[in-house]
Amino acid sequence: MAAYEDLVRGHQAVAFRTAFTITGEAAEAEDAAQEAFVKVYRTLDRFRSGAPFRPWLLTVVANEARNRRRAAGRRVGLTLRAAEHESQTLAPLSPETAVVAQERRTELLGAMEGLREEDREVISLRYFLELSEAEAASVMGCARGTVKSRLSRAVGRLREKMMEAQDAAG
Amino acid sequence: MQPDRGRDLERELRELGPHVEYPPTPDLAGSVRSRLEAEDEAAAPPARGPRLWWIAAAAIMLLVALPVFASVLDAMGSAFSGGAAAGGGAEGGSVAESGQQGAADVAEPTQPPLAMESGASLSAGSGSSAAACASPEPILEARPARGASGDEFSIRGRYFVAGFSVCDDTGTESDPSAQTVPARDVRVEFLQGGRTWELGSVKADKGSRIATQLEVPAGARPGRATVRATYGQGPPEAPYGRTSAEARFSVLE
Repeated sequence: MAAYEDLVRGHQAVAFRTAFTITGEAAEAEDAAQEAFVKVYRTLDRFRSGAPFRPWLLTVVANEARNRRRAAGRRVGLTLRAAEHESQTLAPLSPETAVVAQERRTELLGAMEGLREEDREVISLRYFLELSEAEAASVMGCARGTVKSRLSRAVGRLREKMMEAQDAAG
Repeated sequence: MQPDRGRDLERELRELGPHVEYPPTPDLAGSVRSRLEAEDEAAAPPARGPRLWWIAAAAIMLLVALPVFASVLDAMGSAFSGGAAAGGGAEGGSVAESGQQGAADVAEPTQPPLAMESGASLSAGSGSSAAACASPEPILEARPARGASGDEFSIRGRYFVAGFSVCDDTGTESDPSAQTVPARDVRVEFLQGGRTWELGSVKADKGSRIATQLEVPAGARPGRATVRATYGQGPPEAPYGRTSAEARFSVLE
C-alpha cells in the first residue's frame, strides 16, 4: 500500500490535470482521478509487467473523466488562465517584455476557448501537459497517427481564430 | 510562409505550457490510501477485525467472574469433603461455613491453575467473541460531493453499529447483521476551516446504514470541507467511545 501511495503521489498531478482537461471542473477531475487510481490498484494483477504505467493510468483517468462529463450532460467550458508570474528558471524579463508576453499568452488561451472541445483537448494534452503522442492517443482513445492529424488541424484552427481576433482588433 | 507560422504557433503553445494555471492538485495519494483501506476493511469478513474494546470488556468480565467462580468451586469442593467430615452435612449453615473456610484454605493452590485455565479460555473466548461481534469501521459518502451554500446534498453511510445484541462467543460463525445494534444518535456536522455546523442527527436503519438529505450551511465558503458523522459505540448506558466517519465536500461559489 505504501509503495502504491508513492506511485500515486508521483502521478497525481498529471492524472488530475488530464481529468481536468476533459471535465473542465476541478471537483469532477479530482473524483475521476481518485476513482481511476482506486480502479488501477484493484486491477494491478492484470497489469502486464514491463509495460509503461503512465499510459495505462491515463487511459483509466480519461475514461472516468468522460463518464463523469457524460453523466453531468454538459459541454466542457475549459477555462485556462496564464499564470502571471514568470518562470524562475528563465532570465528575468524587462517589465515591458513581461507585459507583452503575458498579453500574448492571455490572447492565445482566449483563442483556445473558442475552439471545439476536441481541438482544445488535443492541444492541452500535447503542449500543456506534454504527453507523448502515445500517451495522448491512450487518453483520446485513438491511434497515434490520428493524434498527429487532429493536432495539426487544431493548431490550424487556432491560428485562424488568432487572425480573426487580430482583424477584429483592427 | 504558412508552415513557418504554424511552427511559430506550435513553439508558442509549447512555451505557454508551463504558464498555464491549473487548479491546485489535490492530495490524491492520501485520499486514495484512505479509500483503499476503508474498502478493504469493509470487504474483510467481520472475523478479521477484532475490536480492542470487546477484548477489554471480556477481560473485565472475566476478572469480575473469576473470584466468584473460584468461591463457588471451592464451596462445592468443601461441601463434599467438609460435609463428609461433618457426618453428612445436613445443616446448610455448616456447609456454608465450611465452604468459606475451604475457600480460604485452598485459595492459594487452586487459583493459579484456575487462572491459567481461565487465561486460556479468555484468549480463545475473546478471539471468537471478536470473530462474532466485530464490525468494520463506518464509512460515509456525500453525493454530490460539492455544492454551493444552500444547495442540497445527501449522505449515505454504512456500518454505523452501536453494539451487539447477541455476542456469540462459542466460536461458531454467525450472521453479524443479525446481531448488530444500529447506532441511534448519529450526529452530522459540516466542518470547514475551523468552523463547525451542526446539521442534525440521524438514526441508522436495521442494516446499520444511514442516509439523509442535508443542506450546505449558509456561511460555508468556497473550498474544501468535511462532512462528519459521529456516534457513540457500545450500549447507550456505557458507550465505550466515539467513532466517526468523514466524507470530503467541495463548497462551490
